[in-house]
Amino acid sequence: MKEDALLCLRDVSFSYHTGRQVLTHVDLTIRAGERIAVLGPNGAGKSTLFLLMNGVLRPSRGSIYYKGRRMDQKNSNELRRSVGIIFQDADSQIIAPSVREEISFGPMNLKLSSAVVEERVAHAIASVNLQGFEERPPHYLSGGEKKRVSIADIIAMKPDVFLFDEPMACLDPAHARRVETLLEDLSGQGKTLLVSTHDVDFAYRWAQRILIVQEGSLKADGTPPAVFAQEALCRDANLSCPVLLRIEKMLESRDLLRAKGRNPRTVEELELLLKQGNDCVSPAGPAQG
Amino acid sequence: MGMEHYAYVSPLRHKNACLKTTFGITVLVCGLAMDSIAVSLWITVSMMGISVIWGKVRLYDYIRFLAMPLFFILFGGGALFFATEDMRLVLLVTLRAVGAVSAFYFLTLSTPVGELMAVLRKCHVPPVLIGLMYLLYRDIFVLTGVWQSMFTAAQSRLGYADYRTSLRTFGGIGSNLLLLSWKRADDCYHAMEARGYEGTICFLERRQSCRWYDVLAAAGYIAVMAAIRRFCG
Amino acid sequence: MNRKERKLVATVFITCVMFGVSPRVNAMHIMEGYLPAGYCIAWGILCIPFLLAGFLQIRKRLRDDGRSITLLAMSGAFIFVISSLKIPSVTGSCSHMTGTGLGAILFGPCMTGILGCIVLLFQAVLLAHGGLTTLGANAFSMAIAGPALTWLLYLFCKKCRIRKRVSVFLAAALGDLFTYCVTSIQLAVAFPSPQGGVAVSLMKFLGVFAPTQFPLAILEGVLTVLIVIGLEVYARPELQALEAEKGEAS
Repeated sequence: MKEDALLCLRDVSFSYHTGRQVLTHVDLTIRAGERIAVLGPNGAGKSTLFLLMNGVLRPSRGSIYYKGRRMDQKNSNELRRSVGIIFQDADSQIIAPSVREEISFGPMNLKLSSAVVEERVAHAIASVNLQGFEERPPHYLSGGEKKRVSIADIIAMKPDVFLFDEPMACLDPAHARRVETLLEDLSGQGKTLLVSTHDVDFAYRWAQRILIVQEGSLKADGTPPAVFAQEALCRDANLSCPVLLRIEKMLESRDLLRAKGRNPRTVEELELLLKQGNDCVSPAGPAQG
Repeated sequence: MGMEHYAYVSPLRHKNACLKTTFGITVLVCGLAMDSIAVSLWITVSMMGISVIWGKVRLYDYIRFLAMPLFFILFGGGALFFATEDMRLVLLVTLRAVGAVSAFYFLTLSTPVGELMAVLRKCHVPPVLIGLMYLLYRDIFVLTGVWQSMFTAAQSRLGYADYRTSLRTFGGIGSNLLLLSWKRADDCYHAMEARGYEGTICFLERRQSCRWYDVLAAAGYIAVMAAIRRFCG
Repeated sequence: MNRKERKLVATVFITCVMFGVSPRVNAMHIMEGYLPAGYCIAWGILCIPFLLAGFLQIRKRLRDDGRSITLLAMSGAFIFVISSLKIPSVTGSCSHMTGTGLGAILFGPCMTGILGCIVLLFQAVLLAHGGLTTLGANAFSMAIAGPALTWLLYLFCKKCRIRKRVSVFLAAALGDLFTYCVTSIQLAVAFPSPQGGVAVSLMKFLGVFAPTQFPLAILEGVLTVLIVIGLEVYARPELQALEAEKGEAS
């Protein structure tokens, strides 16, 4: 196993008691500090994958390694401590009658002293910008605010890996941007992030690595440009090509841009590339990025 | 659930929850035990004063809240008179009830349910029950929200067009809501487990100081009650 | 009673009936402060053994399967919501189900007892239905006696192989009526008639509440049947799982 491998799934399969097979033969290695987007249709097994990574569900076959150690029934708590999930529906995550108590639930389960819990709660509240909401009851919060509370829930537990289950679903653009900024912040702190999403444009600009999960198995695993280059696969998974990638291809086909493998991830990057292209249009050999 | 909203914004919220609960319940029980018209009147008026002046509850709303159990007061009073034919008893019971409701409103308009549950925890109610109560309380709001949207959706499809239809719609929404709540229960458990839940739900306890002058004021209030009972009957 | 008093009673009564049409007809919550202190305590004490049984059963169930806690909480919240909803009624008045009958049919009487108690507490705090001092009396009538009868009737009907819909209707409606009878007894015991004692005042209380409670009981039965039918259509596996669990518990 590689040195920097943080979380490893080896030939993991999972089926519910009813016998329905949800995941089959998943092999996956996640390295520390990675930003991974998980794409795939609803019901493909993304949420189950997350629950397995966090240790709530146990694989029916195969095994999970965390920092090289095999996780089983006995040390599954270690997995829960180190891997946090932010659920899609904040309402099924939030249980306490006030924001402060809600965020304290995780740290209290870690059996920390109340002084430490207090400090962690304050830190988590500050990092999602919810100062002044401490004593508010969750049922008087808006959807976006609830989402931020559910993120703070996990921040307060200080896990190494964050699993976000469709964090942008049902959020207005302002809150979605906020969540994206939060993802950047966490990534800046060296946390490992996995985000399941249906937004290919977001995945393309944010992720370093993309996983496509479909019908319970891992169909693709690679950098965004590499994954989206597999057109047949994307069509199968009902994923459209990211707008920027399409523009890039269009510009290249008309000879207006030479990306030379440096795929622009944002509009700004594209603009910069276009400017540079105009400055030095030279038929140099393709440089690998 | 407008009453609860007041509890969250009330200036009295920051007073010690244990003191408020003890005070509210003592007044409630003493009012009941003293069984006197004068004491009941005193409780009604003073509690209204406390809630409106210090609790910053709008007088109009407070009266609206008091009117909520009005039906029972009137109907019950009517029934009581019909059964016992004792006007003095009806008056006494009615005023006692209004007084008790006022004392109870002092508590509910100044103390959010979450803090009341924290008080119950301090009273050594079994943690299983406390956990169940926390979850149940939260679920009430989640389910009410879901019901609201189901109701609107049904209404927009003429689900309440006539009486028969509305009964059927009510039943349909009811069964769907129950089914949905069971499905949600699973998700909720997963989410709790993911955060390290191991059988007991506990949150950070809030520390509220208990000021000596608050205790003194509470004791004074009860002394006044006793005095009224002694001298006015 | 002299003539003047009779007139007064008539006026009060008519006003009450009129009022009964507009504000809420609670499923017979006795209001805060309505019962004398002694009776509050007595009814509270009477509840304890039943609640203890329910508590032990819940604790056992949680030990066997920890995930029941969220299921129980959701079901309790459902009882709260369903009993705080206005039910459609002919006169445009606003009345409520008790919901505990449904709870008893689905989860058995012991768990419904505990859940019903918590629900009553929240109803008192959040909606000002019922109250703290009368919690014992209300819990006895609505969370213990009513559901217990519903449960027994439901079992009995099942033994007699009566059609499920009919048995659910009978159990829920009669359970609701029983709740109202128990509430009337509670009031009658606390306020006996000076002439004829408890019996006379009981008859009078029963008589006064009958016009609102009879239609309500029928509605409760109808709605419970409709909900159970809906569940059978959408949630057969879940229902069977519940039946199996109940079988083990009892």
